[in-house]
Amino acid sequence: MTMSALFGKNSGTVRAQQNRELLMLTGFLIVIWAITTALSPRFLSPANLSDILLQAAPLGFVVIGQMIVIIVRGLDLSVASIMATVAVLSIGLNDNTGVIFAVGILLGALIGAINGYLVAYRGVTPFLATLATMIVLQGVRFAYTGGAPGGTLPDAFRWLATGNIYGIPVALILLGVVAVAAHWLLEYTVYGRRLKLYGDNPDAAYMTGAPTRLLVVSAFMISGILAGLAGLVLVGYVGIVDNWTGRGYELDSIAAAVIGGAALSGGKGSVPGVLLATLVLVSLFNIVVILGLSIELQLVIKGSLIVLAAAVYMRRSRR
Amino acid sequence: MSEPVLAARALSKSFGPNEVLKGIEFEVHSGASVALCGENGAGKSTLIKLLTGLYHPTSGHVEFNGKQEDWSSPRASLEAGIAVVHQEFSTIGALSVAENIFLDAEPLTRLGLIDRKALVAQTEALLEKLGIHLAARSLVDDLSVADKQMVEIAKALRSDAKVLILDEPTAVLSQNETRHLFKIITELRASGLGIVYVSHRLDEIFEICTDITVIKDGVVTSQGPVSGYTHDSVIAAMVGRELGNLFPEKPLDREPGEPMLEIKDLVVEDTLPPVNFEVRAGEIVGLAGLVGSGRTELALAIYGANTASGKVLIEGEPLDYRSPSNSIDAGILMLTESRKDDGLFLNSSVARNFAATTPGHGVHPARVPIGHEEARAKVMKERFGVVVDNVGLPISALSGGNQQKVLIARLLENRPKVLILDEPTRGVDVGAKSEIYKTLRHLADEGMAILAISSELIEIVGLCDRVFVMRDGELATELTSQDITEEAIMSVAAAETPTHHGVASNG
Amino acid sequence: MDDVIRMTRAQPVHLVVLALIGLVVLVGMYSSDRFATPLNFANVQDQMVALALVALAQTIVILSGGIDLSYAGALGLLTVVFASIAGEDPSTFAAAVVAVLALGAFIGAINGGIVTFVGIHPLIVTLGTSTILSGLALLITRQPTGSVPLFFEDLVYGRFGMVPYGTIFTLVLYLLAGFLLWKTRFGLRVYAIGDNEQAASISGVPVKSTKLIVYALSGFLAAITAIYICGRFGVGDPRAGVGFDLKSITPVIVGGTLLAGGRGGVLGTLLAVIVLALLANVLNFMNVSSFYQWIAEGLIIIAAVSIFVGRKSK
Repeated sequence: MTMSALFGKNSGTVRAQQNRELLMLTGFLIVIWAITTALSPRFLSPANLSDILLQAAPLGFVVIGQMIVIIVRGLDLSVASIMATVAVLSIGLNDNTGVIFAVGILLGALIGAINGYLVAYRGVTPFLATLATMIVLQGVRFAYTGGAPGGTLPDAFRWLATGNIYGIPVALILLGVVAVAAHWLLEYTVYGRRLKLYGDNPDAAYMTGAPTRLLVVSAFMISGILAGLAGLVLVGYVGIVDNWTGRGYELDSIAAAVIGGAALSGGKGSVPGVLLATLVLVSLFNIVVILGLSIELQLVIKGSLIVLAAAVYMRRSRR
Repeated sequence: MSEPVLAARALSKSFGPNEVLKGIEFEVHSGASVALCGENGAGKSTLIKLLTGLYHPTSGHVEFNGKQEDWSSPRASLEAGIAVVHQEFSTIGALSVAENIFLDAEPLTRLGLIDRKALVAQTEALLEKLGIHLAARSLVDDLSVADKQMVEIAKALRSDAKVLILDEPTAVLSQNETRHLFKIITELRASGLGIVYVSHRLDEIFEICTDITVIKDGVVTSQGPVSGYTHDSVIAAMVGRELGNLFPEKPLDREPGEPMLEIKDLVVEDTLPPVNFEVRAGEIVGLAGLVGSGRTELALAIYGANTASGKVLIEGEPLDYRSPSNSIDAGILMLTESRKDDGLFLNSSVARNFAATTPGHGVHPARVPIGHEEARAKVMKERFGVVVDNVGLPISALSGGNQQKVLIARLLENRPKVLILDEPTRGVDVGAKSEIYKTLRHLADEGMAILAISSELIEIVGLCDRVFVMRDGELATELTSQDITEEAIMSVAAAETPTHHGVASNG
Repeated sequence: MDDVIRMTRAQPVHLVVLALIGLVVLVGMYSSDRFATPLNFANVQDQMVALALVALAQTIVILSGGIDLSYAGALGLLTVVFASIAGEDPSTFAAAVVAVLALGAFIGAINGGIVTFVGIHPLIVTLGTSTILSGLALLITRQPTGSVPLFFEDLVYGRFGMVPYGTIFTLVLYLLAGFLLWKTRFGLRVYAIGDNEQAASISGVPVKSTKLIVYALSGFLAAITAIYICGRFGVGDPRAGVGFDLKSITPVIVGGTLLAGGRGGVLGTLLAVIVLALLANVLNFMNVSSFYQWIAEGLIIIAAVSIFVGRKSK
């Protein structure tokens, strides 16, 4: 990625534009980190940075899934509900870490498949399909727990979310593996290519032989699986199973995906982009705390950032 | 001579680097009806959009009643008295006939509320005057396509229009409905309206128009009273060159090869008779017919994109489950009618568009190595002479002709046995056209079977070895070698049938 | 007759909703003899006024082809502002009403302005503004705060016979909205834009200003809801709007209005609000936990949407 590719004669290419967006996000992240460090040196302390990363991890999983759904012109409002439901059910059913994760992944895949079926085969708008799933899941897990979730977290499970390998938190390693896999899938496989092309123009994708319905179902399944994983990691991090685990993640994940360059009109999005956006969001939340500002400012900042980012990308795509 | 009611003066329009219209001079007098002729992509629709304020000119201006006008919006031109019946419908299905016709011009009570009674009464009076039999209160959703067109016309004429612009108004109308429309147009002209009539159907133009303006590649090539023209001279002005230059030589003496594509008892729609035909190796077979005669539907059914019953055989082997994906595997590839709708991935790069059917072609069935698409696309760019600086640019940056070349190149990556091309040169400039024709002939010579659909008769005549003329969803006749002439095709395609669409009894 | 059906935007599916209402009432009467009492029905009505008002706003936005998810934040901010300035006497109260209605319309106009003039998807816009608004509300106060005059609380809790004033007020607003959609140019424009924005634009409909007004109206109705909520709880709560963003969509969809816009009307929304409120009430009588009510609500959405899908996909 040379400067000439970014700003020179080949600056109009689709890739150059994406690279510029990544550069912009990175620059933004550096600027806010620099400002915060100047205001409060404590920000750059290893403890605080590791805190930021750990907070970012569960959201990171969800954002990657959300982005893949957005790429195929979808939207997944059920991710937060999936997080809590998977956590409550799989931890309630068993106390073996392996089984918990296996059940969680299967459950996430199943819920995602239902979302995908409603959208791809029944023609339900993604918004409504996942809204309905969200509400149903909410009922299912409250009914299952009778309002008060139980189940104990096995130690091994806690380790997955809070432990270290050579000083690197296990949750981050897990996220790293997922992110690399997702990036590879999106950029270097036929499947990923078909996902993006479908989002660009579903009719043209169909005419060029893409299995369009399966693409949509699979995207929702990936989102379901990643949301399930995120639920388990978050519960491991917090240490308690709660019926509202992940509350707000549906909107945060949409926000991060949009800030990271995914367009609701489909076809666009990258793993590095949305992970950077996740870091930006979590950093901003952290800064508010570090600087001793009112927590509520987080909301104002987040909301403004969503609209601002969407406006910036909108202007670019119009040119 | 009196002043024209509507005129274009040195009107030009560019979209980015593409100059679509160049210095157009155009006049309509009241009581006259001017035919606006030209091939697809010649710039007719753009001219209409400029005349009505949907677009703004890059240079030049529009004159209305002798005064220079710069319409701020279509609404402004509408209020001034320019009524348009657009090619695409502007009816609102959720509203009633009356609400559609008087949309945003509803009669109001003194309180500023919609006077529902007056709305219905005015609508009924208007429909009565125009001789259109529709209930004012019925929902437009429930109307047939032809009735929707009537609503469009009534809507255009709801107020005292000075000029009526009709863009391909008969494309969806039956013979009877067309006759009725002509009667209305003649009456309107007699009452002093200026009419602008856009149509591909030369017969219609000679029947109801007083003047002709021909546009080609954004320039007026010919203009004058209709009495000074013949069918041939209009076509010559539209095409602007002799056939010989444009099309490669047909191999008239060659023996046709083995049947590559066989269609057996294909029923596209239950009410239509089954279709049977074959395309042999080395042949270019044309599907001619009017818009709406069922050509595209047939092609989509063969490709598996539309459901149909019957058999499709490739080299004698029947295809089982029918879908675009299976057709591609079997060696049938299709170029669709509308690039923008279901051909191009407009936000993706030229390279990705080119590689879309088989992203990992030549290396791996499931993986796409870094730079693979770009490398392939560069080869394609040289081979097909696609004009683009960098294959990484979004395909939306290319001209129509270059976009079409990329799409055709995409089909060829799969080494097709059969190519189905729906309007292969739509919106493509003449230079690119001639290159596309050469490519197609070359492919046929190599043994490919090609099925081409075109609304441009000249293309069918110049390119095809054999032609099926479609009418009302069936193959009405087959023409070969010397018998393929525009007259022969039109005489069949536009022949009146006892009943319109779908109920022809033979077969 | 045609006109009556078109005016009320009555659809066959409304018969299904009506039948559901009947069924729910029958089940209610069977499960408890306290169900079919004027007191209980008045309770049900009290429960549903706020939702009915927000759903009315959402209906109009959805009819125009948009969506408004800003109620969660907007209601919080508007109740907080209202309760903190309403004071105790009629003059401050009147000023507060005017101020909050204006603020609501202003918030809506900002939503509409960004949607129309910047061209961002309304989902993203209203999601963003909702977050900002709830942040602002919480910056003002984290706890429920302020007060409303007693006479206003009396009014909100007041009943005409066994019919709460709130119900009458809601019905009047629904009638007004139905009238607006049927008898004014604005109403027809909303349908035209929601059905086919481009066709509407070609036909000379002022698309941008209409959309702007739609969102402003939505904010205005949210302000009315906020004032009502203050009246019921006596305080302004920054969290008063939580859940109303998505909750407001359910009755619209169940009532037969298409999320894509252009089809449907306020009658369906009203019927759907009634059936949802009655259902919750009956399930309470049957001692079914609210958990199962959620499951029911989700399934109803899926069922409703699946029914309508066949209609518009051509």
